[in-house]
Amino acid sequence: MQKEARIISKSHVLEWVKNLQGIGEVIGPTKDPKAPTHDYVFARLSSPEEIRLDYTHDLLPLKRFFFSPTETLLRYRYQDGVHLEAEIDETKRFFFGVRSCDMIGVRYLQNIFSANYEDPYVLKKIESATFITLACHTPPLDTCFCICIDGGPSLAEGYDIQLWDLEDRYLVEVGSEKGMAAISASEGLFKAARDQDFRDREKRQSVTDQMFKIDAYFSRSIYRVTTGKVPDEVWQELEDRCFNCGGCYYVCPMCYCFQIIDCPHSPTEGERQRIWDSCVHVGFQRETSGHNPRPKLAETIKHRYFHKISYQNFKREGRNGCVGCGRCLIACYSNIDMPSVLRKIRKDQLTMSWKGHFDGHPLK
Amino acid sequence: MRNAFSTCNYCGCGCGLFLMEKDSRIIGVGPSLSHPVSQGTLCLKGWTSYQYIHSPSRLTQPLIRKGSNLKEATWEEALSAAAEGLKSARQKFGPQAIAFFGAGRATNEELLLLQYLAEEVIGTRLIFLDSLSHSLSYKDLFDGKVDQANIEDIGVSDLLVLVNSDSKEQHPAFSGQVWKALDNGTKVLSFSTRRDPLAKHSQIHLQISPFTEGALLKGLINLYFSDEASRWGTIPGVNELREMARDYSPQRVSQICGIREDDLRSAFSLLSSARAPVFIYPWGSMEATREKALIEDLKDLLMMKGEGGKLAILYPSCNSRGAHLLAKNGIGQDLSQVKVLLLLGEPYGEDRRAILSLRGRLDLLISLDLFMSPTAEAADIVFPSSSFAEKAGTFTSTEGRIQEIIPAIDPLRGTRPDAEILTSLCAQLGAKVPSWEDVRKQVSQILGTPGPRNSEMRFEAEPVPPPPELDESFPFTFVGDAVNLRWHTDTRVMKTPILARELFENYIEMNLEEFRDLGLREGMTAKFITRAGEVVAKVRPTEVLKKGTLLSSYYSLLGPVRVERA
Repeated sequence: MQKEARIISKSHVLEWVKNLQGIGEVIGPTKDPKAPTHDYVFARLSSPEEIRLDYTHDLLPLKRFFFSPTETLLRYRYQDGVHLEAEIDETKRFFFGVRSCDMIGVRYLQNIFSANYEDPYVLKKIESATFITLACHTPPLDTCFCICIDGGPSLAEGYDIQLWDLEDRYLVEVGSEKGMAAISASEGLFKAARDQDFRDREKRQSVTDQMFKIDAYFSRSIYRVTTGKVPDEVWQELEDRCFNCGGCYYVCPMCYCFQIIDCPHSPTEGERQRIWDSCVHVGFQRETSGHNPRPKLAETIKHRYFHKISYQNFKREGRNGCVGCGRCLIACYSNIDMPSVLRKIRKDQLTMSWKGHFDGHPLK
Repeated sequence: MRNAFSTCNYCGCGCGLFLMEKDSRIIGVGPSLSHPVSQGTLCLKGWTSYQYIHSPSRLTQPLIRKGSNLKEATWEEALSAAAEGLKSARQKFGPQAIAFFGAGRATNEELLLLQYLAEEVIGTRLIFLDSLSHSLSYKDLFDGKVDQANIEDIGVSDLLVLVNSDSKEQHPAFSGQVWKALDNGTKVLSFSTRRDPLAKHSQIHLQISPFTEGALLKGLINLYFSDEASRWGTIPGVNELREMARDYSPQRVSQICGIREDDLRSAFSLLSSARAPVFIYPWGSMEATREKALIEDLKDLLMMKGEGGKLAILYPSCNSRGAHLLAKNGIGQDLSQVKVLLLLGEPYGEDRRAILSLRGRLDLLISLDLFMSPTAEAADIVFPSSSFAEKAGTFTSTEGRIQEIIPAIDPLRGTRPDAEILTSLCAQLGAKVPSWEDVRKQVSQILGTPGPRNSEMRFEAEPVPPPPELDESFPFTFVGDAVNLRWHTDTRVMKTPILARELFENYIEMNLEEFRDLGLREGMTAKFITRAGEVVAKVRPTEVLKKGTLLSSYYSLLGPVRVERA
């Protein structure tokens, strides 16, 4: 079933971006000239030329634009009573060149922050955003494994526009009214998509799956985790290796734990903030009494993986807590990542030795 | 929202990171995928390093002591008071009564300016950088006798020798490479007092008694001599070394270290058959004379090993290596005549104790810092410093990489970069003020990586200080430990909400059996008595310590200890 589609020549893309900048902020992958050569970071574009659609990965996922590392929830002031002020960001933004895995991450967060309570800080930012995604023809990095967990390389839904790279042009699939609006503003830059364009896309995508290098077989591990068949020694082994850095949480598009802190600037005013915080840290669930239901890393790591792959959570959230973006393979110092843990749970459990995924640098 | 590429301000690894700026605040940090050291990782200190920047506890006003309290003052008042104090002290007591200290977290530019102020403007030789006493000068450490290892060497080595280092805690980026190398087949030979998590995965782990690393290394040297004595015939220093190593027979070493002779021989055989061993040692992790002997032994062993071996020295702070290169003072500087002290940041551990014990005798203590640290609390004048995200400068990482920090935001209102405070002091003292360009030029001229290895071999036979003597009344040895979430004096760490939350309880660890023998239970405190004083602290049992050993990352106990129920 084909959606509303167009073609845009690659030579017209910068003009499209420029037009979008006239409507709202455009955020896309950029390179900082001072940063190491292969670092790409999603940032607000000052000029369209900054965009780098040939990028690999922004190691920090898109969640930071909606679920901020530091969000001021409210400011308070004591002056003849208590005064509270809250600011909700509803700036119109275009996210240009988003990968499928990250798009799923954003929609997942949208669900999470709508359940029970509709969080305006997260939801308003998502609702004000238009997402122009970029389907992957080849896996951007050797660490990608989205095909194992329905995290990509392309999307069936959830996007406003999905771009397919056809070498000299993009096939532009429209997924929503917002997407249509992003095109209508620059109608002259787009042509109709022909059958040949769709055939070219099929041809290019037909070889994509074979190019992935990491395997991550979820189903047996989901079964073992859900039915309590994973021995505690497995998690103890992880505790021995774990550096407690929280990196797996920080780089994961599907992780959303947080902490609320109060920051007084003076005895009479200050602000309440929500900050990123990982459930892996043993202090995360320590209670006011001092009691801690999970006082060891082995238990917190186990909890985190259970949350991501057990069937109960699958039913509740509609999908597993992983999109196969591969960032955890890079962020972890000691090879604890979704594919390794799955393999450990699925296969030899206690006797399997750990194996690195790549020789030397993750970019090699 | 902007992302500014910068360098972490904590340990010597020198990881690259992005500072996320929004509305003039740093709201988060991102990793650098292609940075040669961090390669996409960050430890928890790195990930949370932005959180203390906007802490409400940041000092934002100079302070001057009036009576027993510190009172807010203007910059003019504080600078003037500091300059007057320095001038009159120099007049009354002479320049050698004035001492300066620069912490290992200060930039190269700040340390150069501090040196200029101390040596050229005041005229004192008492300037300490990062530590009150370095066990070896920079030149002696990097004398070219052995190859220096960089982080890439870890992954291609076939044997990693970890000398009393759980670098997972102190230098995560390097430890990460160790774990990855381990998973790819590299063997690990480690010796430490605590049976750390890596021990289970090491080919050989020797759990040695506290402070016996020196004896162990001499034992390996002894085995090298018995193995191929003829190889060392003409090398300068060989006779002295052989003579000294004679005292460290496998039998005696196994006794001193509390290990089995077989295990020592296996360790030797693992080392001698390695093709490209990398020795990893955390600099500054032990007392100076002990460290000097250890470094010389490591170099001797590597020279005996021959081609292929390398030594990785891991410096503690982000600019410890820069400080070491610039430092001119060695062991045993006499502080008894000091009347005035100016500190950029704080010394830590024994150094802090030594500095703070001078307090009663000082006429003037000047502190430059971000927070009200113990040193600032003891000061007569306090200057509020800007953080690493609010100023420009360079850090020299442990491998010798000179990396930049950039001002991602303007200095927090009321604070000034240390370089500016120091040049203002120079101006107040009527001295020529070096320009920023001059200072930067000096940095690139003076600092650099050591030259290639020279072929001249020379053995150094450095005597090993014996471990502290225990007796019935004081049967425990205390060993200081490193924990990743702590750093240095914990000043920045404790103002970082996530880190402070994790470090909610300080404790001392002891062997599980001894814990039970004393009738202790989880959650209890105990009294730890030394000849120098006593401390009451929470005590935790552990299975990773041998009997007679106490371990803590927070407390520091001098000398042998007795433990009693509190």
